[in-house]
Amino acid sequence: MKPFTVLGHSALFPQSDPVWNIEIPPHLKRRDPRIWQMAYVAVARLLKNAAAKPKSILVGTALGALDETKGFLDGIFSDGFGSPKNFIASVHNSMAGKLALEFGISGPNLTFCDGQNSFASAIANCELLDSDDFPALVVAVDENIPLLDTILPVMPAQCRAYLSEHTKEGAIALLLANSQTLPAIRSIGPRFAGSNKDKACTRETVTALLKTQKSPDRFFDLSYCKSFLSGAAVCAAELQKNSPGSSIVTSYSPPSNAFSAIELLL
Amino acid sequence: MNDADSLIATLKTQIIASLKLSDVKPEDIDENEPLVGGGLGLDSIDTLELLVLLEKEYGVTVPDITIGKKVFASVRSLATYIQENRTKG
Amino acid sequence: MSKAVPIIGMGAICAAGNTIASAKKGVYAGHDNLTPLSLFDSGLKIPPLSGQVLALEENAVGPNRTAQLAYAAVREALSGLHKRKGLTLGFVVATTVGGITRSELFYKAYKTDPLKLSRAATECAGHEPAALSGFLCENFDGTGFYTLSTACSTGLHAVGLAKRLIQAKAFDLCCAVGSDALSILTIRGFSSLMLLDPTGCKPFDKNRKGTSLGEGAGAVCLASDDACKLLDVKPLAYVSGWGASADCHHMTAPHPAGLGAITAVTAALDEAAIAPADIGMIATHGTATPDNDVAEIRAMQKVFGTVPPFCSMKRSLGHTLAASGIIEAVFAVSAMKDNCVPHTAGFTDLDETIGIAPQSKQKAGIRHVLKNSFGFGGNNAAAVFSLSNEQGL
Repeated sequence: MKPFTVLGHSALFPQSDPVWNIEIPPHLKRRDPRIWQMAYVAVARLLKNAAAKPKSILVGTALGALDETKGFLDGIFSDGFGSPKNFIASVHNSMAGKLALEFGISGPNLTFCDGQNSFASAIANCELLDSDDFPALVVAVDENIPLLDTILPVMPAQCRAYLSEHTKEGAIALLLANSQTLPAIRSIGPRFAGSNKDKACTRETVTALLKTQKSPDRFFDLSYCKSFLSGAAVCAAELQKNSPGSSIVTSYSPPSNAFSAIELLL
Repeated sequence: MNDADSLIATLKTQIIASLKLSDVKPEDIDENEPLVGGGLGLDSIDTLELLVLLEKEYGVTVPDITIGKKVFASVRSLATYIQENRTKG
Repeated sequence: MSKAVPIIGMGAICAAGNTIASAKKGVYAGHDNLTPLSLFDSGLKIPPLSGQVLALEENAVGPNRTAQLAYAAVREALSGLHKRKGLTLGFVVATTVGGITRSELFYKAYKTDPLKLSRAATECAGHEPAALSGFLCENFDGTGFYTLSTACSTGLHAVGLAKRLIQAKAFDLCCAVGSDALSILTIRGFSSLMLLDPTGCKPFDKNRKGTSLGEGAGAVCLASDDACKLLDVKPLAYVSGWGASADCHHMTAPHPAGLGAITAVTAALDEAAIAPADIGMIATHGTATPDNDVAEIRAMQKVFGTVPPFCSMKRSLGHTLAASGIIEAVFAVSAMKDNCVPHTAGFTDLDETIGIAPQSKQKAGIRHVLKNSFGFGGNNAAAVFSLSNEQGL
């Protein structure tokens, strides 16, 4: 996969940004789900100073608007009435649709749901776009809801690590150009780790290979950890630091037994 | 206040609560004005939300979207439809 | 390299049948395969007419219904490829509900009895869409995948991305798979939006009042030219163009003039390097909601002037959401090969507002078909499928 120039980047993590909601415009306050608002604010921060307007949107989200899905089912399973607005938002691409509507981005609009690899999938698929679909807006967004914490203790050990107490929520947005100057980002994978049928393709062997073949200046092995967003969050932090050199950020999604990696060239 | 007027007053309060119109007071809603596309900033998704309100509070259903457009023309038309079809509340 | 990418395998399971061979004649003839929803209690007073897969084999493979349907379609699509060992096989998987058919029932039980929490690990294991992709890779020796979810347009986007993955040499073979099982969430969701016609959908008809949901899976296996030679297979047809766009108009309603649809269809025709007049049939999205059908035809009139023969398969199959783009593409490609335009079940009376009617046709002489899919969020997909890889015929 080829690298794309990072024209701009922004991030929003509500936990460490308690006053973020003052950035939500009034017309999105009354009815819009929190996950839409998070995506909106991250993108608004990015595009505020952007020189060019995005032509396409690629969103990575593992679970989408989970709170809306739950809210709709709560209605159905309690008094028998589900809220239509909950259902509309419950589709995984509702954030991408809303961003297109708010920012007037009429090109390809794709949403990838590859667990922790979702951000990497969104970046990888930029390569499949036409040149006039650039700049491309790539967004990673997921939310945490209390139900996830309730379910966690009974999930298998692997999933517990994956949805640990460090579960973060938020949104990360990148504006990518179809060119190769610094800073640049590219996706490696995702690859299916398989049930050891292909020994060359286990998580461990590929991680080792990435370390030796690419010999990055900084290596973040997120194979087992943290939130859906951790890969995207580390990328955002690295871009923020902007110290010269290359970084590799790996991720692993237990339900699909697949891993991916993102390479940053700063 | 006759039945229709009191139903209209109740509906205004219920609409504000159901649609989370926190800045709107009942007297801000003109029962003869269009509900959608008017000053309240409501759209078709809000009318779908109001369908839930109708069924929950009044046992009233709207059979299809064509009739729905007439029912949700204004608060007054909504009240008339409820009076003609209510099974509870 | 030719811009068109060979299709070397196809599979489908839907209300019309468990394989392409068993289903296609019924689809061509416009059989009404909708039945009152009996798979589960949706809580609606009248079970809506739906496209149910009632004969899913008892020992179907997969952790949930969506996965079982996908397994059946992929097995059929890959069945003729005996020499594929050693070739890389990618999947682009399209789903909206994923494993929610199980997790929603778990959640219902858990709400009344919190002790049921202990079952979460098994009941929610397949909830994530990506779990479906992992399951398919595991069972069919896949080497990598992308999981896509863009509501009702997902399936056709998956075909477009699979085409470009082959062109980018990411995989030797790439299977676009769309699968969605019927669920309480989607039945009640569409019902809450007043988008369901409980008496069954009537695409393009004057009296259409909404769609009917269905379930199923479709799979299209694409291959590089080199892989075709190695496998010693002759292409069934070609994916020659793909277009994608966003309406930027409304979260659930289409743009009334179909502006986004026009962009997507034009892009697909451009990539296929053919003129609008080369299209012999349009397999429409045709959901039978009052707004969709008229917007879709407005858009087609803008692109084509005189609209080619068109059909909607929604009354035969139900609207299978993320699967619909692929299942309907599979039958559109089959119909092109069998030289016919399928009959549109559910249509009887011309809608003057639309002005034209769907029409079936025999000995149609079709070289290229257009498939449309539009979804929530104003998301549009279009793809062109061709009999041969010679362009501009």
